[in-house]
Amino acid sequence: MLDGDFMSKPVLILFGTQSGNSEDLAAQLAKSATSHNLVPTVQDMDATTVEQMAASERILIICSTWGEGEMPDSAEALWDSISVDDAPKMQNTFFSVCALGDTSYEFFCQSGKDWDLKLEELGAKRVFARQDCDVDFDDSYAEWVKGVLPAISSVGESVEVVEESTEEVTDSASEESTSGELDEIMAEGDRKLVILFGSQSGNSEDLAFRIKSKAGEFGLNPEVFDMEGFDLNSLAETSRLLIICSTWGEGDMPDSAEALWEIANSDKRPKLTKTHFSVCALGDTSYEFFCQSGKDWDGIIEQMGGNRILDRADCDVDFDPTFEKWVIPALAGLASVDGSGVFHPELVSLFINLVDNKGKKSSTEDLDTPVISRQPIELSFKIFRYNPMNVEKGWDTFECKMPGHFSILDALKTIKSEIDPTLSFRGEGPLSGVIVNGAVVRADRSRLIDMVNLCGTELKIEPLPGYEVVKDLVISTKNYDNHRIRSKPWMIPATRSGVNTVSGTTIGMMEASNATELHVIGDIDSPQLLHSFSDTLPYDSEYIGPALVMHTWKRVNDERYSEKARQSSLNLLQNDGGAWNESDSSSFGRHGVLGKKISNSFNECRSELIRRKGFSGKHGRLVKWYGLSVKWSGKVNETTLYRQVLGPLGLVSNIFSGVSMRMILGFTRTGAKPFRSIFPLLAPPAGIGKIPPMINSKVDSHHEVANLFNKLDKRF
Amino acid sequence: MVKFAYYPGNVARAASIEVEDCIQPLCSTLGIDLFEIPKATSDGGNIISQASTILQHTLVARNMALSENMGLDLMTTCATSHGIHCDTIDAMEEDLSLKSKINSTLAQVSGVEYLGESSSRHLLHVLVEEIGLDKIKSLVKNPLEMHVAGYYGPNMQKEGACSEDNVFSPTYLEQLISALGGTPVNYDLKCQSVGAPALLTNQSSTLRMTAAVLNDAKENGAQIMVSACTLSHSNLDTYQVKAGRITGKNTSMPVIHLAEMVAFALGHHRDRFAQLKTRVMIIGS
Repeated sequence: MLDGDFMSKPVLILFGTQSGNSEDLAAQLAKSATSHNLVPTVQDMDATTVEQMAASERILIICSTWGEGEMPDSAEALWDSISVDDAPKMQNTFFSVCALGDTSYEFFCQSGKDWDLKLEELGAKRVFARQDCDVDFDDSYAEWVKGVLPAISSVGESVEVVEESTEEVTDSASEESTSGELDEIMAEGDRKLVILFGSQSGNSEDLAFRIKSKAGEFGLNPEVFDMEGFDLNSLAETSRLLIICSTWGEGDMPDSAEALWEIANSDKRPKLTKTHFSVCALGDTSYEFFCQSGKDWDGIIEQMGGNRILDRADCDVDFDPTFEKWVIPALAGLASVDGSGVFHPELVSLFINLVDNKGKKSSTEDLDTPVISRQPIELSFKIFRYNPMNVEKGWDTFECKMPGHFSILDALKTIKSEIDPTLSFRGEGPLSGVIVNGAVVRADRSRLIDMVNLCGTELKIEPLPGYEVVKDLVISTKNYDNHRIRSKPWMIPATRSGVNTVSGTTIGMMEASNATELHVIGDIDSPQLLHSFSDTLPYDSEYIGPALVMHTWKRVNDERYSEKARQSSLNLLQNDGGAWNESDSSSFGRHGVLGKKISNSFNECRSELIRRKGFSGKHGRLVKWYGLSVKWSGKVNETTLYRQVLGPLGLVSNIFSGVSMRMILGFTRTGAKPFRSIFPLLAPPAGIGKIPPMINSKVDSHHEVANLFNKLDKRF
Repeated sequence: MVKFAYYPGNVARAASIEVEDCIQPLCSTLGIDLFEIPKATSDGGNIISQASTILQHTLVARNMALSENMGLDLMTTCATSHGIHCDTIDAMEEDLSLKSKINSTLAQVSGVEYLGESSSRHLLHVLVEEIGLDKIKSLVKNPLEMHVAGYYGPNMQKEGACSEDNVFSPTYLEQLISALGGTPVNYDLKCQSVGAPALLTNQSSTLRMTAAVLNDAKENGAQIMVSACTLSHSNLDTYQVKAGRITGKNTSMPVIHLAEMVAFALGHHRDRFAQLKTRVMIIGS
């Protein structure tokens, strides 16, 4: 390889701007120039001297035209300096000019033309023809970049041609041979990679899929498996294994990994002598047993005969940096295991280089790929702050200018790095959720421009409700996790008949409609976010929350689930803390399509509970008597509901709590007659003040209502 | 004149009779013609849907079909009812087999079908979008002259139900309060549910939710609250003492309905408005 410094080619990029377009293009040009081994210096003409220009070997100029063919303000001084008679000669300078202008003016691109001629007059050599760009300059500019960068980059190569060409040939030959070796290993035999995750909050799962998306670049065929329900024996024939596992509580395995861990520690565990592996452990340094589960897996796989190709990575709550450092060498290591299971350590660095080069190549290719970037927007972020050290909470406001395509997370990162390093929030993943002006969103997936369109330029960012706040926007999922344990979310399979496939393997079958229904119920990107959809949750500590109700409801609908476990799940949904604890499931509707779906699923779940458990309990009685009162008269009879749902004790309690009195007297309300009819005198208090009559009058054509109930639901 | 088929909701002619006293005079002043839907029934209140979604949808579709036959859009004063109507309209638009099933039942039972031509409107949206704040302002006889917190509730704050207002940060009520001579109070929980459907069944959590909303408004300087939802109105008003007692929060505040507020400002029920102002003075902020 050639030495980086030897190859460096400085280029001076000068811009003369009036509206900012030239400056913007100069910045883009600098970015593109680096992929041509150029070392760009971007400079405003205002800050440039003629001497500096004369001393530069390579100059690229982007200059707009102002008024009647005049130089922009920022270019005037330099233009005056270079226009004097004794301006320095520039025989050693190579240049090209991109001129911005407007064809509707007479002197189109005049300033650019002037620079182009002036530099030629002073002896500089034009390496690429001037490009004149109209108001819509993107295409013309792109065309110029495409031609000018290779041209200016090749300047001076002929001078050093002898030395460089030798090395280039060597380098190219070595690259070819390297590439050949890698091609060979990537083409031959089994390239399967097993990625196994044990997850509690979803982070490990997220990382597993991130590895999967990267593994293809190493010529691997990745498959991701949850530890829950995974057949450990299948690893015996696996050459490549990556494990990502979080740690739970006091160094415990996450729920989904427990069963597999037990098998790994039993006599039934397989030998893994053919398996090459590495482990990424997720944890939290504030706990005593940091990353214990990952450490346990690392140890046990080795005990089972596995060959560790890379040391374990132990990641803290902010896991991204450690993970990123681990993932490339880990994939390169496993990619260096050939089709017959032999590890070739000498290939690891070649794989890393290959992927690095691909990265560079792809960034070069990006030049031709349209990138949708948004103009910076003036924003005001009002961010919730909580300091656990002195238990202080409040709001901080940050006035910033950020591009619209930034995500909320990008914005938070920018504020943290440039304004307030003490700001805390979660990184990428399902736990990045926050509330922005009342909307529950994932910070890593919500663009500023979309939030601005929804709520304006003042963005109020709060932590998710329904969770304990640890610091600023960071929430603790402890309560959610405890409820999750209580809901026993794991699959307890039923024994069911199977069918044999052509190859003789026995598999369980499921109706396509049932499978689709399960997918629909379970199609939830972030359960932790869904948990926050509920308005009830912050006020009801017993309630397991909508995410866990939905998970349990999905299990109930899964025909693979054992009947005993189904009954247990139905009891969980029916009893305190379950589906009936949600006080207003229709309020999910404000959270878009998912909210609407969850609201509908809640109704389905409750309908099933009523079907199985009858109209029992307060909730059942409310539904039954609401329905009956509507069937009987076409209207709701609130007096009947109070009497039937609360019962005599509840009504007495209302008397003592002042509710009845307020209903009779209408304390803060106004209007209404003291007595509605003669009826209240016969059966008080119904019909007195705001307490509705005990018996409703019927709506017109009431028989139609009764008939409708009889046709659709005879339980009423 | 603007014409609507009028749907009073589930409680405006029962526990919230004061709403009914106000809606007719205010509409008359503003040039809104209301027509009764004689055979209309309860919309199921999101309670019947917990046993049978299709039964609730059919009840709603019947009311909508009756409005459609009158050639009118339906208007209601209750945010919950409006949200329920919009849910059914959406469900029927999205699922043609559901639409067919509902309409064939309606055709057999009532001889009507809902084709989707009549839509549901909430009084608040009609006032702001159809009548216009300028016209309302010009007709004000008794300016509110109070700090008023608007309560939207969750049911009409969803796509398809909030009309042109913002789903998450609505401002229609605040604009209307200003037009009526009051000072709108901004507070965080104006769209949060007070758990009205579960008032009788999950009383502990619904009272906490109720107390949180009232207390948030009060802490932000509200002297009264105006509710766009007749159903939630019961929690916020009748149960406010109980809510304050179990949470230890200050929840004491007169809560009136949107229809009352507008009627009072337009000069109707002057005695009631005077009573309200007296109560505000006694309770304080």
